[in-house]
Amino acid sequence: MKRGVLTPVSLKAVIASAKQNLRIATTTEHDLMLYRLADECISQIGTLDGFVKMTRCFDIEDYKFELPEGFIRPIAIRLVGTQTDGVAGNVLYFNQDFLRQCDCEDTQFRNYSDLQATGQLSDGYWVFNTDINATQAVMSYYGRNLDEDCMMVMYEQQERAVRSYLCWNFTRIFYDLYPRDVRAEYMAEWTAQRRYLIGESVQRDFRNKRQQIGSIVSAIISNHNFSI
Amino acid sequence: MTRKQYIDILMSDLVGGDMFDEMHSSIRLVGGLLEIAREKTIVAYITQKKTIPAQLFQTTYPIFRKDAQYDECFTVFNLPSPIIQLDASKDSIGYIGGMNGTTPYIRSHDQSDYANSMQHPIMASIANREPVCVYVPEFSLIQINKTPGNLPKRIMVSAVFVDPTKVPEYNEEIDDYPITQDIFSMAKDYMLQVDIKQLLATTTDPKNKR
Repeated sequence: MKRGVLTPVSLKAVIASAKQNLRIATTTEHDLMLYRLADECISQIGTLDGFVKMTRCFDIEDYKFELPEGFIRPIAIRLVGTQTDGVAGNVLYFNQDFLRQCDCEDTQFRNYSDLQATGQLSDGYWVFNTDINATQAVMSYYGRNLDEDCMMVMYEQQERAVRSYLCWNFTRIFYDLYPRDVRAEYMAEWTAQRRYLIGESVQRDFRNKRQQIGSIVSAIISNHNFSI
Repeated sequence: MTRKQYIDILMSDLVGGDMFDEMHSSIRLVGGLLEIAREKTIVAYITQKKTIPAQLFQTTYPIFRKDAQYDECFTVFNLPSPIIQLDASKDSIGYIGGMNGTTPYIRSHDQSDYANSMQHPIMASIANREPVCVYVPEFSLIQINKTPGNLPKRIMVSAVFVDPTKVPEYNEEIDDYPITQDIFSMAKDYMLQVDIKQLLATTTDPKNKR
């Protein structure tokens, strides 16, 4: 078993421990609701760990491609098929405003086109403005940290916060089964844990963000995988 | 203690000890009354104590109904006996899941609860990934819903059944009757107050003018 503050923990695990706390471990009747609450909680925590930078290849059809689950904003797009002898061509587009916001070195991308010049977001698709030859596009984007079932990924560090959120909401829904002070204690625990997680996350992100975005920019220019 | 031993105690305590009963009709009667008293007492006991004693649970492997199966959507399993309903929102099912006993299926309270859950994308996504079962008390059956894929055809159920003797895995001769000592004494009191009192009561005869 892997242990660490950034080790992903399954929602099933935190739901099992919350059910023990609520003394409903012998039933699975509320599991669907608990899954929904857990997913809602991880979105609500609002820490930067809930967002990741990713790169994926997309098939272009009718000058557009479908955006992935959890997509928030693009960082860069490279059109596949516009390179010769393994050297990336110049058909690169960068979300220059966003990169400047992230304090990236302007010299890394200022010679390339701006993303807004090539296309736009429309109804869950990236739609190219002009006729293009490429059949695939590689996009680096900023999005929610989702697992293969499109559920928010939770880390070990967040487990206590999610558990207290589940218990607080469950005791609120079934208020006739739990005394008021139990509900208040779960709410206090959730509030304190959320504050702690946000503080931790901001600290960590301050250290990592600039380096991560920088490595994405370098990787997409040189057509290599980047590491975060 | 087996069911017969419990019935012997009841016969002794309630009807006054040894009886010559060639047809065993009294035993059958007391046995039937015990089942009714057990159900009523369990409901009262659990409502008061908020917990279900482990001795009450019985494990069974319900019969898969091939005729009622629709592979794309659901499978149906027949239970040997109804399950004790504790109140409008709670029943006494402990486990419905895989044969290994460690993979419980998610439950929906009823079909309308399941249909409501499907309206939310997160709950629908979970339900599409894992089997979700619904207990239908009217027909004593379990329906397992899932989108096309591997629908389970063999399941295990652990619950408190209304009539424990109908569970195929229960052997009346050697297995312990699923009841605890305090529930049995409560059931005995109930039988004494309600059933036996009725049996022994002398009714008035309106036709008798004397």
